[in-house]
Amino acid sequence: MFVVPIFGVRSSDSLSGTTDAIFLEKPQLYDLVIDLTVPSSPRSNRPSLLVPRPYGTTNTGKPINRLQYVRFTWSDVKLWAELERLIREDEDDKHHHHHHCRPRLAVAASGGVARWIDPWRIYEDVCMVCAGMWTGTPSPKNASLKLPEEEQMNGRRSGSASINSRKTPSPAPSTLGSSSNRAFNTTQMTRRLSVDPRLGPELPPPSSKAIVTTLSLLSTFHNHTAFLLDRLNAVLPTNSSAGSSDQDPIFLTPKEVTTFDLGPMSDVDARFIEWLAECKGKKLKVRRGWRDMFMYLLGFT
Amino acid sequence: MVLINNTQMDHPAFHLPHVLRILGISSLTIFKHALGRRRVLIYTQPPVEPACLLAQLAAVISSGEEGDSGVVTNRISVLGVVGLIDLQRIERETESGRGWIACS
Repeated sequence: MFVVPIFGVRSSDSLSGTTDAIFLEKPQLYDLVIDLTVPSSPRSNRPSLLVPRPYGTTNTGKPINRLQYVRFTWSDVKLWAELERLIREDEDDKHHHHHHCRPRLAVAASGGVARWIDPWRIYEDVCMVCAGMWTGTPSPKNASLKLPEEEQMNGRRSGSASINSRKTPSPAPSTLGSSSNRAFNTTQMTRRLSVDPRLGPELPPPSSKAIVTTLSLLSTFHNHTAFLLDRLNAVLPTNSSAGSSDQDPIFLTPKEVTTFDLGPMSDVDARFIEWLAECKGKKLKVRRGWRDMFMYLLGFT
Repeated sequence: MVLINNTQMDHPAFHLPHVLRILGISSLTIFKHALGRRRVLIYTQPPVEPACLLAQLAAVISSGEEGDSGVVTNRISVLGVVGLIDLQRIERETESGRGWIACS
């Protein structure tokens, strides 16, 4: 029996329900769930990522999967550092140019520093649509949300705001300041506006800097993909030439995994290489036994 | 020189810097699953626009290698918003082996 939560209760004039949450009860249907409704940790408002893991078997022998949280691997840090550098360059330029997605959500910490105290420094200047991915309102210590274009937007689109206030539920009671709640309301409102062209003029096109940043980010992903596939092509023929057919798995040692700039200790990275080989119709396995790891740590393989 | 017309200006890729800021380094976990042509489900409450945007962006950053003609042929499928009525469609997409990204 599935528990089917009913959400979407908007107001007294409408009642809607959905059984879509039943997907969370069927982890055999997917390999990754991005849950935009639950934060990844109490201190973070980022969406949580979950993967199904084998948990046991039923009486009939069918495997039972259970959702578990998955986090980044240390091998991701290098690529993320490059992406973050590109994003930061975009941030540095934001005071001089207007971007594609406006109005933006500017975050001002106390003491006049216009950014949150965050190790990755990424909570800055996102458009209202993208801000909807935040699970709830951001709540960093000593920080407040500032909406520099809020008044202009309310003045230009006051009619649409009243429409949205009737359709959108009130945010949950929060201990945050009024400014945070106001930001949440405005986020909801602008997201509603963004899908209806009748509710105002089109947003300005992205600046040249925004275009360059976006293309640079895409180029970084593309180059990394090309690197991974090049490495894979280099590994697959070498092992195939050893006399194995396509049906026999090709084994990869932990040392060979490091040539992909991936972590030999990471389960996600090991499966990632196996997935890439699977896309090419090859069966590949990463050796991750205790003996393989021991030999790798001693530098033998 | 790259020429971008007005239609391309509305491309969801221009939200990429924002989404990366929000997801942080975890966005690379999504990238790995999308590039590995896995089955990715985005679970959200209404409105679904941010979730659909995320699905499009995951497909864009994981387009994979180009064919001989310079066109990516095996992109991951973006199914949009799915419900229980789409279970057969999901199974069909799974059998295709190209993976999929859907919102629910």
